[in-house]
Amino acid sequence: MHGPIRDRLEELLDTTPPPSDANSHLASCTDCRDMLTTMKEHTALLRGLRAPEELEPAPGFYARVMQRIEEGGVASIWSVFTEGPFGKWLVYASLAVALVLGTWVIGVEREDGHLGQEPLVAHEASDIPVTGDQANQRDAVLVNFASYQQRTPQ
Amino acid sequence: MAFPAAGEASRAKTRLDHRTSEEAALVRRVQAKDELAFREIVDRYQAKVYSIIYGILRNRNDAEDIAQQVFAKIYFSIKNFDFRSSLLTWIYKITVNECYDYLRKKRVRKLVYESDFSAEDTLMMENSQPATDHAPAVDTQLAQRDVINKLLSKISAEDRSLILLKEVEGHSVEELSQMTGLNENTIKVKLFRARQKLVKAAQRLGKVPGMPKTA
Repeated sequence: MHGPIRDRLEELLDTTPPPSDANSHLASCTDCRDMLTTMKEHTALLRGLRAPEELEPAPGFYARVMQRIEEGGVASIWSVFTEGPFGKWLVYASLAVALVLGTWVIGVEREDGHLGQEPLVAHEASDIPVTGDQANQRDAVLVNFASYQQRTPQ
Repeated sequence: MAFPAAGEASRAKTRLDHRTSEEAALVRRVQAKDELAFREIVDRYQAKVYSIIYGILRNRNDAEDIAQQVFAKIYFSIKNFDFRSSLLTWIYKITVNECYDYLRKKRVRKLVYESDFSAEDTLMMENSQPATDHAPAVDTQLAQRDVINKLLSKISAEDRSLILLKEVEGHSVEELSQMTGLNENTIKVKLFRARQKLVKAAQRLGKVPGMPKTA
């Protein structure tokens, strides 16, 4: 929408037909004309939302409001954490703490060598022979258990 | 954007101190937990709130229910009222928000409800609607209200209440300036942007105002 129409939009929406100076622009500019027409249609629809007259709620309205307030007034203890500025700051603080802790844990794990190393491979292509002393035999059995795979008949 | 510059004189004229009015004293009493003052607010604004809601929803039961909800919200959140706008503007914003919140929830409920029916059931129910002489006019009005409510639900709460204060409540730009504490030029810019957003929302929804789509 161009300046001459945009600047006087509120006036033009209420005036039919548009004043002659605006009309000369509207006659030559399709964009402004279409936009103004659409906005006028919206305005008419918006004015349809006016109540036909000022209406009053049924008698006893204040009592019903107070009843609703009493029902909603017993706030849960958790509302302290979920509502208002305190709740918002609590969420931000929790996120910041989680971020710092996460960064720290990853850093420590990297230093310890748990992250960033290749995992140990227990799997062997074939069973380890159970030989040697008792400790070696126990290790061989454990590795064989850990790397057990059912063989498919060829 | 080249809106005419508002002069200092008009700026000073429109700036109203909402902290010193009689209404502000009433709000301070409510903030100090004075129930008589709250009753006065309910008595003063109940018809206004009820009429705003009825204008948007056209259903007395819903209007009553939402009006109660609005005053309960006012009661609990008036401690946060900062006197930057008039009390009426603040109440208006809460009221309109409650209406569109209700419509949004209703739309979700309707979707869930309708998903339980088969296409045949829906067709049967549609065909069983009684036809009257007034039906087309009423249908068109309902459809138009549905369209504009859908469009209004797509814009921000601030834009929505401003445009409704202008078009539904009939306030002038000058009055809006006094109510909100913003200068007239800012009000004009905000109104223009809100209208633009409505046009864009209509384009996205594929709705032509005044001519609701028929299936």
